[in-house]
Amino acid sequence: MKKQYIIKIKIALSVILLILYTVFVFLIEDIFLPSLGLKMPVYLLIPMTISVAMNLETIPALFYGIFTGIMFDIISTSPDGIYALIFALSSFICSELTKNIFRNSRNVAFFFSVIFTFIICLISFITNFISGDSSSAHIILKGFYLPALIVTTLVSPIFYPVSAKIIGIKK
Amino acid sequence: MPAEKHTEYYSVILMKKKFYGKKYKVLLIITLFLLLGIFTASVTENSVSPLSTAVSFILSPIQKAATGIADKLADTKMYFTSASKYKEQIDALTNELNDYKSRLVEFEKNKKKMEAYKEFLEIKEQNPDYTFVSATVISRNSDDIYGTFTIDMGRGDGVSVSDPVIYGETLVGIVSEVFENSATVYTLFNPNVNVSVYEVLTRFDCILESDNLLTMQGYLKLTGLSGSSSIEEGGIIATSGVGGKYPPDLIIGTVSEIIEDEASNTVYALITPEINSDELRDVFVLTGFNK
Repeated sequence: MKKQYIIKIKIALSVILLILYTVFVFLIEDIFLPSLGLKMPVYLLIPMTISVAMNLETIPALFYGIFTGIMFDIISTSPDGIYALIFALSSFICSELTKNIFRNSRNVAFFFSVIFTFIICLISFITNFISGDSSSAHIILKGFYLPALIVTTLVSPIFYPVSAKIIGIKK
Repeated sequence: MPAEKHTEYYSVILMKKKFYGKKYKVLLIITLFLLLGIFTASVTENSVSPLSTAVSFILSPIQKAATGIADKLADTKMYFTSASKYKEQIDALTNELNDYKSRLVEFEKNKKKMEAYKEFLEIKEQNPDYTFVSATVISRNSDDIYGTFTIDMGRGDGVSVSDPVIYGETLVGIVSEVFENSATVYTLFNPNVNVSVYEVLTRFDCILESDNLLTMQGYLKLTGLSGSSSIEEGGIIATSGVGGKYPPDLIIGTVSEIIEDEASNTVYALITPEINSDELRDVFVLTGFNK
């Protein structure tokens, strides 16, 4: 009985810690990095979501994806709700693939992060620029989204060990 | 039944079981629910889904607090830069210099704020029927190249979609999304913001457009010019008020260069905006203007 009680407290603490960690990463992406004068997005929420989802069961990963996706929706100009859907599906897929096909490792997390960052850059590009001036599409891709993809890829390995530690899995 | 067929049969059953399993049903329900959210957001007046509104309600005070911390950190960074610069010269004077510098920064900030309030007061005196809400920029959207930002005033403060956002006598942009206690503002660089303008000296009517390439260089594009138009470099561009979406005579920026594009046989001007939205901290929202 006492053991069960301790387990419940541990789970509750992990959830609180996970929420705080998510909000912290959100604030770095939304407030602190732009305040440094960065003229491009650094999608920290993507590798973080992927790393967390890989270490969660499929359904919790799905709900976690919705939560981070809504955060992403708030700070993006794309149609509201689109990232909640994409993040939810990404988290579900990552969690499911980690359980059944891939190993749960830092390299796989990196691989997933690069793929989903690419997908989200593509969606952001399509939703922001497809209706606008398409003649400068290559300049936007080269000058805005490519650096964003590179920087996000470079910082993504940080998130896997941190996320695993927060969820309580020893890596 | 042969052994191979038997195995195949069971693997199909397992696959089917897996696909129709509980978690896939949850995924399907959630996907439909989120698609409904996207649809709701696209048809509602505020362009936001109820889920985003709820999360934003919790996050916007945190964003505001974090912005305050980021500003303080930025100031600290300035102290460090100055200290290292002057340390080589006279160590004793460094602190004093930093003190003066920080006072000067504070003074400049207050001066700018005062100027904005003074201009705002003039507008208010000229148009007593205008209603304003003073707002602070709480975050900047790094997801696009247009300088979109979020302010700490929302539906609860009377802000609604399409409200013009100004700073002093200058038009900054337009409210695009409204949450309960925050709102997203599109700047003039956004292609969704269309403003009819005129050149103050010649009274020549033109159209303000956004061009992605020019946006990355910090310029707006002024079209509708003819070769014979007498607009010159240095000319001031202001809103004409045509269409009733924006109040007239709000400053947009100055003409930096006039370009004759021989390939397309058109003339356009590059406009340097009066306000750099990256440096904005306080703005005014003209509530009720479009009602």
